Amino acid sequence: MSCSAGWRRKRLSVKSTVSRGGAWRLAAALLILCLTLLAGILPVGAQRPNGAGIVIRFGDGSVIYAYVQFEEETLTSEDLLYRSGLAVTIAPYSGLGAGVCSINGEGCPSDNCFCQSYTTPAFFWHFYANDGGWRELLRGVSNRDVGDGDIDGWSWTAGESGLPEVTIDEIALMNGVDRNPPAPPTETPTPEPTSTSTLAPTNTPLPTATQPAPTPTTPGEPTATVTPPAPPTASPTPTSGVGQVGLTASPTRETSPTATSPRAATPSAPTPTLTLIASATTLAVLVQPDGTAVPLEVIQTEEGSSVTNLMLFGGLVAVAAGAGVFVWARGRRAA
Amino acid sequence: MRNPSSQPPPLHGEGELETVDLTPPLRAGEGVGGRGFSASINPLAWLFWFVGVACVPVVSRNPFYLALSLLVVLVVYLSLPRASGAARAWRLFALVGSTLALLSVGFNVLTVHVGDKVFATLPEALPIVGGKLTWNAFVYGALSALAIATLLLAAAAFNTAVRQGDVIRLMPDSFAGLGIAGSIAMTMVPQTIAAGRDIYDAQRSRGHRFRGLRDARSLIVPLLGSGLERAVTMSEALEARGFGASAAAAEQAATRRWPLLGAVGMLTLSLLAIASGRLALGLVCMTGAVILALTLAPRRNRRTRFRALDWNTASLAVAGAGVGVAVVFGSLLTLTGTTLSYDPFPRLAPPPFEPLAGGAILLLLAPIFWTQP
Repeated sequence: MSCSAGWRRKRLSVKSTVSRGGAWRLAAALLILCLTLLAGILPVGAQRPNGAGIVIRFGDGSVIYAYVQFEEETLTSEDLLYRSGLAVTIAPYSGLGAGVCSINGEGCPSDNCFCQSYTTPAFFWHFYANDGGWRELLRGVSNRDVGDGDIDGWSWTAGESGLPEVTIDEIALMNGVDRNPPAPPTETPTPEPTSTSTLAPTNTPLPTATQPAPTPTTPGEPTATVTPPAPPTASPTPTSGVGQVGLTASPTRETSPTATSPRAATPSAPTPTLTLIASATTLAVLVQPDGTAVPLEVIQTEEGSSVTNLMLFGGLVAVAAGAGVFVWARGRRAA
Repeated sequence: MRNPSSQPPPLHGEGELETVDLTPPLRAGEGVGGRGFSASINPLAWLFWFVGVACVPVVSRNPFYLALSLLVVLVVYLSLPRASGAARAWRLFALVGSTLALLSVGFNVLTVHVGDKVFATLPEALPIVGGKLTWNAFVYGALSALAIATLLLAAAAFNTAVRQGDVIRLMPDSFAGLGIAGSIAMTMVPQTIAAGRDIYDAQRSRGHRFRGLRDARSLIVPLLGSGLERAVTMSEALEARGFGASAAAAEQAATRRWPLLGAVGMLTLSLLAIASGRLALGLVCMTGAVILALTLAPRRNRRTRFRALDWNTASLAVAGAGVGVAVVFGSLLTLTGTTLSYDPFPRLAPPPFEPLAGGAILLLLAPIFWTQP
């Protein structure tokens, strides 16, 4: 009897402990849920998508600065190149990973990826990573993962890379994306049709132009929104599109800064006049050896065959199939 | 029943021709004169046809052209009689080759992890096959398989239509020995397949059943024996015909040694030029080397023809079709460059189609109007 009462007391005690602990757990879960909902309700503009840069130096000394935004944690350098929209030819190699054969027409075909490397000097696309300085990578483009703020470098060279020193913020800025907005905008800046900025011909590696503010874009579609050039105090909202290159500007907007490219940043170099006519399909910024910067347009992918050609192909197949039927019928007659 | 291992290779001469016929003797229904069913199309026309067919998979990886050429070659192959032993052997050879080519599709998908259209991902921990599996790799493997199948089927059709002896006669005098050696090498696999089939039939007629690996001994041992016997017989036949030796040739060779060394030098130069990326210079040097070798090589055997090649309408049409395809594809490759090419890496995009190239491929159907199955 006493034993039974003791067991019952112990049971009640355990039950009350469980119910008290369950209430705390329930409260904690509700709190987490509320915080999660609040985080979801918060404006998206407070979040910045990840972004990585690509610096490509061609044989003639021109340099492309591309900035690619993405929502994943990391992606391979191969995917980064794909998403940049540049014309890239890649050949798979077991072990080291894929090799880059050509970029924007410079290089070799995929069936002979290192065609110009068999002579002296040996030219091919060298692969670099920027971690405080350019460091050559001895692996394939598919074997490197890049995250937010990383920069890949490519140089068509037989020796030194020749890549300019540049930071991810500068690359983003060149493409019209401010990675470090100071504060959410409190008022809408007044749109202006043109924006002129002058870059001082100093030894600074990048144009110091007052960049026009980027336009918030929806993922997956090139923006056609007129971007108001922001005053210096206005903070831009970064592009939130996945795989969009950050230079998003109006087709009619014209900026006329005087730019000094990283390569042309020598005291003796003439001060080039940069007329940058950005469009909605602008891909990246190409800085030519003379310092002239031009926006690259999205490469029109080959549409394949027209409907007429496909119908012609169908007709040719039908003729060949008809010949096959003719041969078959003749064979049956002969048999 | 015919014993395959006891057949000496039949020899036949035309004038001073010293050529070994490597094909089995004619059977009933194969016609006379060694051409039989395709008597109206001469071997050189068939050779042009084969070159025209081979141009497509060699030059292009465009699925439109590859599919069309495979269809055309299949129709031509079906229009030929395939009852002879050589034809059956080549059919088996083409089937085995095409099956292996299809296997390469899976191999390509599992080992090449590049492309923008991913359909599955294997754990990275798996060696070699670990990683993303892409449609790009699948398409590339399928196109390669299509090209290999087209080439094999074209080779089967060519060897079904033309006897090896006729092909050897097409070789220049200086390269007759090379032609014989090449012909022996080319026919080794089909002849072995044909011998294996005959031995299989013979053993079954004796009541033997092939039920497992242990029973394969009764097939493999006679096959090896017949192969060795055929090789000995072949070498005796070649020796009896003075293959590789001529008293007059030694004198000729001494006088033409230096030009031949020049040809070898030009060939080396052409290879170096091609390796260093100077394709035009390499091709010019190679052409010069071939011309030098053809004109100055010692002619060990002077050959004459009893029957000249008959260039009738059928032969002209078939040869013209082959040349036409080669010219069209060569021109497109030179002038446009990109019309014929198709690369599923890095992006999988629809291929272009040029109706002129597609129409030219249809010309290769020409033989079906003069062949009888």
